[in-house]
Amino acid sequence: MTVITISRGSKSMGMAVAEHVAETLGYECLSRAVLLEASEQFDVPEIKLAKAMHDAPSILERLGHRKHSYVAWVQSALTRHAARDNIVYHGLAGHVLLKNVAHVLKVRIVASLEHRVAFVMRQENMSAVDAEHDIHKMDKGRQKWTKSLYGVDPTDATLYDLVLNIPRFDVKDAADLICQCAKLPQFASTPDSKRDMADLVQACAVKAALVDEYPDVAVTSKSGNVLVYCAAGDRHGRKVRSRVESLRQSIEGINNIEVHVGASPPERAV
Amino acid sequence: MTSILLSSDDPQVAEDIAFRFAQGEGYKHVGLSLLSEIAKKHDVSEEKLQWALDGTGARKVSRKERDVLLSYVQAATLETLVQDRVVSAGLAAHLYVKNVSHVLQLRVLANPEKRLEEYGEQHKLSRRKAQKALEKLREERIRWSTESFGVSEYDPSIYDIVVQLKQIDTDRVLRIIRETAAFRGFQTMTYSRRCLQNLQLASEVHVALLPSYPAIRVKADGDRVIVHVKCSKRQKPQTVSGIKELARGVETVGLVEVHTVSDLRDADIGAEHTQSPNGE
Repeated sequence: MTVITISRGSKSMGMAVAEHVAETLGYECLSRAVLLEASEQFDVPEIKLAKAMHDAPSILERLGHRKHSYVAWVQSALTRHAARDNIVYHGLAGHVLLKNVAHVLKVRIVASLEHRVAFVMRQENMSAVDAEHDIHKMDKGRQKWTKSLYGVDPTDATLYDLVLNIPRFDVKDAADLICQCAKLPQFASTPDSKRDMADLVQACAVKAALVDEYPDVAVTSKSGNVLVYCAAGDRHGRKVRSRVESLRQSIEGINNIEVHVGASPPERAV
Repeated sequence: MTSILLSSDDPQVAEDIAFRFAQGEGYKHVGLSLLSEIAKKHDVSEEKLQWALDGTGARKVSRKERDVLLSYVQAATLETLVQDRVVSAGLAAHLYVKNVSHVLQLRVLANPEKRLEEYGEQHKLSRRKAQKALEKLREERIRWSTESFGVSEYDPSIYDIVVQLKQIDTDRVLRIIRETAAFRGFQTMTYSRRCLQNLQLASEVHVALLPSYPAIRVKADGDRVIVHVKCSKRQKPQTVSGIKELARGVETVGLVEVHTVSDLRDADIGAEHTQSPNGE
């Protein structure tokens, strides 16, 4: 019972590997389904969510908070899926959206620039210069996105358990290596790691409910005890407190919910 | 049969895995012990060779001398790698063995928590200071690998596989190496063997030329050697004849082609031996 996230550079055939892994292990393969679910639940067009997950925030977007809301909604949808176990997620930022859960195997698929250029030239019927330009633009966008939202560089190998350079493997061999790692007892869900995942689902659900009105909130949850961290300010704190109370009814499993005003949130907060 | 190049952010980790793999699978293990042979052959100090390979801490040799020392290590390592079924760690081969399909390049990232703890204990540092020191080491290694070989050793795309020893343990890494080495794509082919032999010959010519011509790139194809050198128009005839003479002194070199360029980055020569991306 494992969750596998496959992060990939653009045009690095990560999707083919993800599908092969899911088929071999009999897991659900997810990417767009998460966006669709978030789109339905929070009544946002899928295209807007996809854009928020794909493109780096522009200067105007950085000043606003809409993008943070979209990401929180996608994260909430993803964690709900992940809590059911046995999924392969190859959408963006799975490794950061599902951090701190022990039974998540984090994989990155990379490919050399030459290989990716050749792939794009073939697929899009482009010149080498245009293909390289497109790839650089996509990579920069993704790097900027992850850095701006999570402060990490997606190309940093320490974020992953396994990085595979795909042109050196065929899709089947790469998938076999991932499947073997996924079967390791270290990546099997345990009662503790399941509890961590349930806590993450709950924290994400609370964050998703609050983020549109209060974009600066951070949330943690432990066994149904939810802590909401928000910026200092009496009025602000009172508003958040009254809004939070209403969540007891709408989100399942909350035993206790507290608001911490002005305190800095712990690293695991969402 | 595949050869394996191991590297790690913690050199001891790569060394241990290389040793265990070589013992278990009957591979020849090539590591830092090769330095004493290189030191004897070129009459240089082993300590300087070690520093040239490490690149961190206080500077013990000049940049020019470091490049010469690294060229010795490179040539000696490539000489052992052409034998097949070799597992190498600690000789920076992951940075200069490029485009050889039967060589599996693997980077093992040490468990960050464990490394931090061990480093702190070893150097009697607080957690915060140990973290800073490790970050500094990382930056120094990136600078060293970029200056010396034109690539950052922290770029995961230069490896076939990168494994982090957080959840995955050493036994599993050994199994991953064993199984990957058996994949069809990593088997020795006539062409891949030739690529490695070309790299080896180029590295030997590089060793011969470097003391006199520090701004060069060398490529070999069979017994044909192609040298790109940065020099002025006025120096061209003298440089070309000097390079030809020195290169022909290397055993098995046949034809020598010399091209003079104003910027070594313009030299489109594929898998080459390069002094530095800026040709300094």
